[in-house]
Amino acid sequence: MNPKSAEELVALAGNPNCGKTTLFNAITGAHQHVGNYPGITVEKKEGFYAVDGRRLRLVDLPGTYSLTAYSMEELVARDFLVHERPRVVINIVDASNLDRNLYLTIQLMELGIPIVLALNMIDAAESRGIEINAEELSRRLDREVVPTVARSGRGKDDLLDTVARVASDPRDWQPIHISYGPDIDPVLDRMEAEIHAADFMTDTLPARWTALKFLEEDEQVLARGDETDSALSERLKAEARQVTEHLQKTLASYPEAIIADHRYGFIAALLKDGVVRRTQKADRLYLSDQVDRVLTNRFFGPLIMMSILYAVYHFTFDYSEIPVQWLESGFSVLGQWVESVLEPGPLRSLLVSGVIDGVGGVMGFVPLIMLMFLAIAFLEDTGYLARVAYMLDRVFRTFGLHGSSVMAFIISGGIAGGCAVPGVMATRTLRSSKERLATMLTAPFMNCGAKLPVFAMLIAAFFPGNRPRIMFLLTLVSWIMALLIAKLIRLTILRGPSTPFLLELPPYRLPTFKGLLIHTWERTWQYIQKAGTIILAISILFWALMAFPGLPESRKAAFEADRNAVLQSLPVALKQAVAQQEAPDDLPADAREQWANARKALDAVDQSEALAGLQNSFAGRIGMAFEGLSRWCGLDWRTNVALLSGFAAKELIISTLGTAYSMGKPAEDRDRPLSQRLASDPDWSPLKAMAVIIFIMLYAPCFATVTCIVRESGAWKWGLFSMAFNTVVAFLMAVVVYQGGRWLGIGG
Amino acid sequence: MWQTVVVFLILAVVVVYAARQVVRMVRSKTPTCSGCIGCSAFEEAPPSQERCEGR
Repeated sequence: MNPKSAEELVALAGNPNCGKTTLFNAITGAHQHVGNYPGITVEKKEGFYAVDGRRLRLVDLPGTYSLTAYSMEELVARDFLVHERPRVVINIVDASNLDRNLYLTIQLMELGIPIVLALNMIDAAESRGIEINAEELSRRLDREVVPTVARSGRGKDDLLDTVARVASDPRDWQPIHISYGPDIDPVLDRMEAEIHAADFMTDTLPARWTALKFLEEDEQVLARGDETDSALSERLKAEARQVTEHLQKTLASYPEAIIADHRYGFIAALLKDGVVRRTQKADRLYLSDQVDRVLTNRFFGPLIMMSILYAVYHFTFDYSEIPVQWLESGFSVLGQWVESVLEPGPLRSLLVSGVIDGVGGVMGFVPLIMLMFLAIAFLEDTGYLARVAYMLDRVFRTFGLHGSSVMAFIISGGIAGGCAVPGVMATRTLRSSKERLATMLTAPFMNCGAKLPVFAMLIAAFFPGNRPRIMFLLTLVSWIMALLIAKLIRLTILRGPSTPFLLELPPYRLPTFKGLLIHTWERTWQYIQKAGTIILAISILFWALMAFPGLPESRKAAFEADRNAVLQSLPVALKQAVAQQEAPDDLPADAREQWANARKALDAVDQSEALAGLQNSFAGRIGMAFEGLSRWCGLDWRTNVALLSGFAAKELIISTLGTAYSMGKPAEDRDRPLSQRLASDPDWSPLKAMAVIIFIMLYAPCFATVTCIVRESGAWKWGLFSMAFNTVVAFLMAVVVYQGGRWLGIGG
Repeated sequence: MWQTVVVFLILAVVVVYAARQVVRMVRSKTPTCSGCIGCSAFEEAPPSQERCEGR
């Protein structure tokens, strides 16, 4: 306890998907993300709570099945428990899977950590016909046991009172001793004695626990042992090797397996004689299992998965169409208003072309993004996404990835609308560094929430009658490409064996309306915030790159001469009338025609000048420098500029295109949504749009993702590799689509 | 003329803001993208503890 602040450190530990984060949110009032799939918490989160005048600092640890060093979650949880030494650990166990959940409890007790057992989801256990005698369990464990239902808050107060009581208990919590059988126990005792005698890491770890870790060949503990006392560490390793050889000869097994068997045996004994009673109801298939028989069926499962995905896109595109149109109209009116109150000049250009046509294009898709997030939140909260991972495991292994890679893909935008940054971070659950890196490099191929509005805009422009179908197709293309590239990477630069995958399928849950709204709003708000900050800033910078340095005086003079030539050809009476945008009412019919022709000629000169200015701008020059190459896949210099901006954030592709197709266009053209402007542009075609979409889907990840890859892989080379490699792949695929389409006579 | 002055002031602010964002993104130990799904689950993540090695 810290006397200064009277603050007690309390950790929440438990298996994945046992309701840990829900309980954490219920206690602290936080809104940490909760998903109905295992492994949502990869790192620890903190919150505070006051009880009986004590301030509890609660830390939500990643969900783990054990305290080995197999995955990042286990290491994060274990390091925290060992080094931070929390005053109390609330060990949340799923009451309906008590035997499996108690495996972690036993390990916590072996570490000598004071625990309070939260018997969570007790209602679900009861509904399955499982009755638990919490008092007897508490007596046998010699630890406090409190039944809870985290979702409703049932038992929360009891739990916190108990935690406060245990925190103030001066008892010296000793590690429990479990017998590991005649082969291991004598060696374990000997090793424990040696460790005690040498004070070998006993400042943080119980001696018996260290000995167990030497027998389990725990890499982290072995390395620390080598650093602390290499001679003793070698002796302990030699003893562990002897046991291993003996067990292999006599039982064809390993210490790790024997240790696990005895722990489960200890748990079985603990739960015998009425601690857990099952009624007939428990023997029946649970509803979840019955539903899974259909949803994860080898034949029907994938079909249902595809249908659900298709339905999500139908729902999203169909219901967002009208609100998107409203927002587009709103931004158009705003642009007209700015043009009416500001005289022509750079500020007006910045506001209309840079901000309203640029950022407005991104903001216009808020309804679509919102509905997509709602659909994803629903699938996630029901537990269906975990089934998707389960069904795709075999496919992923074929392509050299791991079952856990599926969740990283989904988080990155496997169902359009994710984000590659948390997707890359989700690879921490992978144990093999090569599988992890392969997942990290391919997850950005998914259609993240930033690419979604770009695709939606291009689909609305060129495939208006098939919007859900095209989006569905694009999702399939992104998965296929990611898997093919993963296979290529695993066969070349990241060769290595596959590791086994074990995924817990959480029970299906009916999401709460409030929960869905909170998830949807949080993500939509993030999108709006991003549009209003970094997207706005970079849009303004790209506007500047497209507006400056402007045309040299000599070229301006040439355009002025063209204007004068048009005016010179008119009778004196008409010259003034032509300067006005609308013809005077009293103009005779023949003069009216002359007026219209002159006006058209002047507009053409204005547009040519604006286009020349754009081409001469910094951005224009960069875009045109790449045009020789990009023409192979149908990309013109304007699109090149937009794609360049997309490296900062993919949404910027819309805003930059909006700006590029706003500058140098007549006012009536600027008032139309970007999709309509592109659809009517002779430089664009459905084939070109498809090539652009494929390029955007596959090219370099955004800057945030690249820095995340660097951070997670620990090397800049992988960040740079993903940028260069993905762009080459994108270019080649876009060329195949564009040139293939032209060859087939599709157009372009 | 006044429009040009205002535009250059805005550009100065934006350049500083964007530069700060880039520096923050590169230096930060936490993900700085205000992404979409899942981000809230990965806030304040510690730096990766292992290096990934290729062949």
